Amino acid sequence: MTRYVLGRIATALGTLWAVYTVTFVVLYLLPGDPVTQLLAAGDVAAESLSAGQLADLQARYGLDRPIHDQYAHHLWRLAHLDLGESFTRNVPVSGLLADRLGPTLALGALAVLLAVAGGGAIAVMAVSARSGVARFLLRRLPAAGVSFPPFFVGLLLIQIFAFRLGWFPAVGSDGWRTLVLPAVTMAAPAAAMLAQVLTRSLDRTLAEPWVVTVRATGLSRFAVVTRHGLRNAAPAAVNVLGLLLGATVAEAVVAETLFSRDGLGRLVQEAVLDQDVPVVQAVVLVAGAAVVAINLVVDLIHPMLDPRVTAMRRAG
Amino acid sequence: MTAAVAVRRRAGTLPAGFFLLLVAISAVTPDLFTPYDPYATVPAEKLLAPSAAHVFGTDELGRDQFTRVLYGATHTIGITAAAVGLALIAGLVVGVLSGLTGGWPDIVVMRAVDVLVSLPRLLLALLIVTAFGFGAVPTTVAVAAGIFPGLARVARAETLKIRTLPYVEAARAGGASWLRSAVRHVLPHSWAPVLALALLDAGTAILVISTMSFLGLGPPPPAAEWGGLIAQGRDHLVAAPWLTLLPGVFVGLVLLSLDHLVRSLGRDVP
Amino acid sequence: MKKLGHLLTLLLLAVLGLAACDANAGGADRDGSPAAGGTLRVAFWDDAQRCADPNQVYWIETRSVNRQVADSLTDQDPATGAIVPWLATDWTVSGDAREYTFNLRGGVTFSDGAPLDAAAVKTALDATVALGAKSVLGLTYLAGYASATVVDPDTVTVRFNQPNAAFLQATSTTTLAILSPATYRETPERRCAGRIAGSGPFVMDEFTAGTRVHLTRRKDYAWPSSLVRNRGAAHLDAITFSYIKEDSVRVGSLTSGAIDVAWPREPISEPDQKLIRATGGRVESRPLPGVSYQLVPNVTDGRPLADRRVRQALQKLIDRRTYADTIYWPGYPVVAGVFDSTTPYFAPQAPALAHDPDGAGRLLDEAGWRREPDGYRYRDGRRLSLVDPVTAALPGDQLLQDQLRQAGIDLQLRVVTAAQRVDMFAAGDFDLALAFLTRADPSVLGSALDQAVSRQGTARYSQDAGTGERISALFAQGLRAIDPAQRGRAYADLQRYVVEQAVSFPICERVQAVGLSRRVQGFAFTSESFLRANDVWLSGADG
Repeated sequence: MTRYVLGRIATALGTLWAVYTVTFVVLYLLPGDPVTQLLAAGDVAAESLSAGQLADLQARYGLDRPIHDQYAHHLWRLAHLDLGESFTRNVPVSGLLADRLGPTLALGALAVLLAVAGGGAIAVMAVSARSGVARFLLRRLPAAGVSFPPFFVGLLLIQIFAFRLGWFPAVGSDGWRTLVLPAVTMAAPAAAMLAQVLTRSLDRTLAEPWVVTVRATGLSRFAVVTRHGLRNAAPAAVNVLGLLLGATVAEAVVAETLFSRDGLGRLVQEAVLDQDVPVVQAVVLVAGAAVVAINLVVDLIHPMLDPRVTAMRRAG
Repeated sequence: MTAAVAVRRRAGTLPAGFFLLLVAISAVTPDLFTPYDPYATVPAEKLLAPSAAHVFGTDELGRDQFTRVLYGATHTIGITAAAVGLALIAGLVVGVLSGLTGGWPDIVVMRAVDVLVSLPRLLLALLIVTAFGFGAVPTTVAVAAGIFPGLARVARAETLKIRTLPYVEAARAGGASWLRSAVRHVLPHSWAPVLALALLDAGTAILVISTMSFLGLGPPPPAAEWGGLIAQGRDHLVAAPWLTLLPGVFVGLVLLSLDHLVRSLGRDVP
Repeated sequence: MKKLGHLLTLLLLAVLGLAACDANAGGADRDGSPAAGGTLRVAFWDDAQRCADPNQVYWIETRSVNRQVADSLTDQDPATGAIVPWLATDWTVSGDAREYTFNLRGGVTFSDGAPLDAAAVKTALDATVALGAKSVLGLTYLAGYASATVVDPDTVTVRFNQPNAAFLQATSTTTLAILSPATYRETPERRCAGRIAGSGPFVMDEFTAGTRVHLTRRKDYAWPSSLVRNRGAAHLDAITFSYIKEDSVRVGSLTSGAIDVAWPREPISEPDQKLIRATGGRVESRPLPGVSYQLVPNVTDGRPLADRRVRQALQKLIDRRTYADTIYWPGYPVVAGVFDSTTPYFAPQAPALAHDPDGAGRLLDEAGWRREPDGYRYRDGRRLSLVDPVTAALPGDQLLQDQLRQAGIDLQLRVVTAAQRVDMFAAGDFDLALAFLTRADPSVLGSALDQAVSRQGTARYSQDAGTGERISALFAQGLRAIDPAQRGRAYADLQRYVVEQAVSFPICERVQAVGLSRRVQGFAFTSESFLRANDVWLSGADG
């Protein structure tokens, strides 16, 4: 067991380093010159810098060094949690991340809660509802949830709940009320995916012979599902949940942009438009780290949910 | 799965397939389905509500929105096909070669693929677009990069399965080069599951492409990519909601049909 | 499907109806005297520059923030363009436009307690010059700056080593606002982050770039310019500025009462204006003075626009009235020259900018560009294609593209990042380059077109040597003349010549349209169409 845990941790660290290398290769071997970005924005397109001033700027961001030197230098800084300085905002990237992490975490947490509650409820009802029509509709509903683009779902929510009904603000970062619509936007596809996985697992459980025995004792379909089915579905659900948690930042890009919320998602969207390379790199790294960390946790939880995994890992 | 559900699925497959076929045809020859020019502006007829003449209404320059959705299919489906094709080729080559070679190259390649898998697709796409700029080609590459790792994994898994089959081992023992055995024995057997996954990935690709256009990073107008159309309409969300809602429903129906079709073809969707 | 349209229309009408009922409820004290108190909530669209320091800011929205916090030596009358006293009570200008002497008002203090005196003015001007390229606007406003000399505590003399007749107007801008001496001991970066103290009616106590700005009233303010009705402290307790990117969300926030002022960059659309009016609000608008929204050609040999006939054809092909009516609304001002109509010394060139497709067709035929069956014009097998790098292809760009397509010209909108566009403009890798710039003085066009002072692509590639010399001479003449009549003549000649030679293709006026809730009273634009909040008050502020 200890070997398994240590092995997983080593793999996670290795993956993180590799994610960093991928971002570096993609971003720093790019054709454009990031320095010109410092001058390009807004009302004025200024190109009034002298060659000397240009060189100063390059030196300031370390862009004048050879590429392998930059790589080593950045990696060394990263090990000290220093992510460099934003090209367009004149502030350290780590400060920007620290400011924006909180709102995104709050949004992500609420979205996951809604997704688990919504997805679980749909799955349980889909297999245990009395009416055949209801079961059929509940089984089809998640496919729709996965198919409609999140930005469209968000626009629909704004249209209905902000503009027409006025229940929630369409925009902003202040107060819990601004959290609701973006969280629902993020939760919709996640809940749908979770519902699909759970429904499938519950179907399998209900088809097993022992269920017939249990039901003969007078237990209702609903009781079987909630007492036995969900327990059996847990490993698969944890996998999906891990996947969804890891995608929080990516999902937040659309939700935060659409609802003008502060957070990592909007930060990276703006940084892409500005070609603010250090910020894009940092947010992708954070997202990658989240995925790696969550995979690690999922891997470590799995043996507890299902002892066969440890044995299988050893064998394979 | 109960028999009743299976029948219902098959029942929905026909309309879904038919709808997708229509969309695919309209992507190739959109002018079959509409009398309008998608780029011709008619200032006098701007922001008209849906009617018999303009099924989806008109946009802020008086262009027929339904026509723009149809012509948008050319871009969305074109990029999707290119991205999935690119990812398919790359995934098959990397997966099959890696699986056949085995040993440390296989380990290194698969670790690299794991890394790409661990990055959310949209963020990987944003990373690539930051480096290479906006437009159709960077979008294609960005989307392909997100799809490719999954395909490579499946291709490798299939290769490993087939490699150990007696007749393949016999062929290799008989002195056939691995390139020859790859082309003769492995590829013909491994492409089917890969293709099924690719079809599923086409849906994801459409989602990512339209999301990128929505964020302002897609192909430039007048090309009317679906996400771009929805993004452009949202400036008129209050006064002309149909400009966003109808194209949005259209895209949702395409993805829903695709999802349905993939399921009907017998592949479990995760 | 028709039914759906009706349904949506009905739904919309119902919402409007509800909103209209609501509008009749309040607003009883509409015509009363200004009430004190309340917080004005303003929403802009974005802050891409993320800098609070007026001396460094070029972002026009931030200059509306700056104006409330920092005062300037002079003020400019939006109605006449005349320069009037503010921190300076009077001034003299030497005949060669190289020497300006200002007498300062007594009793003015900065928000950190320091007094305004000649030394403070010198510190501010020297520090703004020292910013160099960090202050892109300061560079041109202070072009040729030699020194500022403290004559006595109330008198300061500014000298230039070349004529700069535009400097007097520059002293009225937020860019040359005078901040407290202590401010200039901070680094430029910290000033950008909001460590600034001015002498304005409000104090900036929070600046979170692109997210939130908070200003609080200064109770002891008593030195507005003569253009302000309220002679003392502001009516408002505070002003908050937030940023909402989505037009519809911003307007929705205004109509739902979450904000008081919706201030976009692009004018509010006609349907959105109707919505705002339906909720009892109103829309105030004013064109931004300065260089109108225009495209500038690349006339390098071998490119299609090197031929003056092709340029003049292009000038005739742009249907500016349809553009204004369609992209904005019927009645939106039609651009009539290289400047917006609010620019001092504006000389309209409407006849030369009339839509004349037939005339354009003849010019293109004459130049050898013939129509082929695909609808486009060709010469020697080459299609008449014009590359226009854009950062986003807006509806206006697409309309223009279609207008030119009808005449056989292929306008290629290349969507690139802002940085790539700077590269393309600098390298001459374009046929049409976008130019616009805000300043209530005609000298501003020099930044875009004057080859003698500007290194921008729009100046370098838009004129052959002969044309460039003539244009530079006219700009120099405008900067030498301190007599308004003389300045007016120089700039009128310039405006006519630029349009005639088709060195610039004006597209539209840049109007600032600001949505106001029914609570907002006393709203005013400055001469550069920024916010002036001294007279603003909120009716029913507690409701």
